[in-house]
Amino acid sequence: MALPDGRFANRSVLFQPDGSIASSYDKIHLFDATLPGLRDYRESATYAGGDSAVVSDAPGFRLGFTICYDVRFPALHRALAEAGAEVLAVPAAFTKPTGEAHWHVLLRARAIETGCFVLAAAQAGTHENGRQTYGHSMIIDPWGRILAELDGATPGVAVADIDLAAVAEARGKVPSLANARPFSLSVNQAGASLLAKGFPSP
Amino acid sequence: MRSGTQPGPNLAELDRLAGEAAAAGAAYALSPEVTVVFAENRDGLAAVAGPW
Repeated sequence: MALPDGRFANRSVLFQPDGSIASSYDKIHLFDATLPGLRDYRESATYAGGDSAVVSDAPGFRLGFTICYDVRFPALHRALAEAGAEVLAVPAAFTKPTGEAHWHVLLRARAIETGCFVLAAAQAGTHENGRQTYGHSMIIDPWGRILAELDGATPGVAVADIDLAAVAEARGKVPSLANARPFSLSVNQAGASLLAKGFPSP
Repeated sequence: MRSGTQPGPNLAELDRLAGEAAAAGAAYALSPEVTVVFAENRDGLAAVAGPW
């Protein structure tokens, strides 16, 4: 979606069966990084980041929106769960290297810590411009179990039954959402001064 | 999906896969990021950006 400032919105849209738009979400977290030995990557040069998380009614459940790199920001997922999301959508285009290293563990962690189903749809294989994406679209239950998974090369469809009782069951077994507490933070620099004096010795 | 740089073929593939999901009983379907266009750069995105 083109924006007035010349950039674009990386937007996820929830369509109703009749084609009307029920809800939409603009990707909040943008990948801006200087990669050692590689070119700088500035997603924010092309896209404007959104500033609003979204939970929406979907067929039979409440859906929390995220997009790709958002999966690395647990606070967003927690906020969605606390706002009533039972299912988290993660449309993605992970690169092959980052996918191999992080894809499964990030998705399973977001499911476990929120007690939500995670639906992750991923670009897969070698694209016409030569870029490679990791694939492995998957459906994960609130206990972190992978219910369905595609491979890394072949486009296809992963389907699973979503039993929302699993949300309450997981959150009942490990009520980390309910048990969260506010806390203060202290940074004690005494240890650093000891190290500067050479103590303890290596 | 394995989206390319042109929306037409990508949307046709989305239609095929969504139909496959519906035939398997899906009531909700999610497609990947950049389903509509896997642009190489900003110019490629600008060329096809629209109210998809």
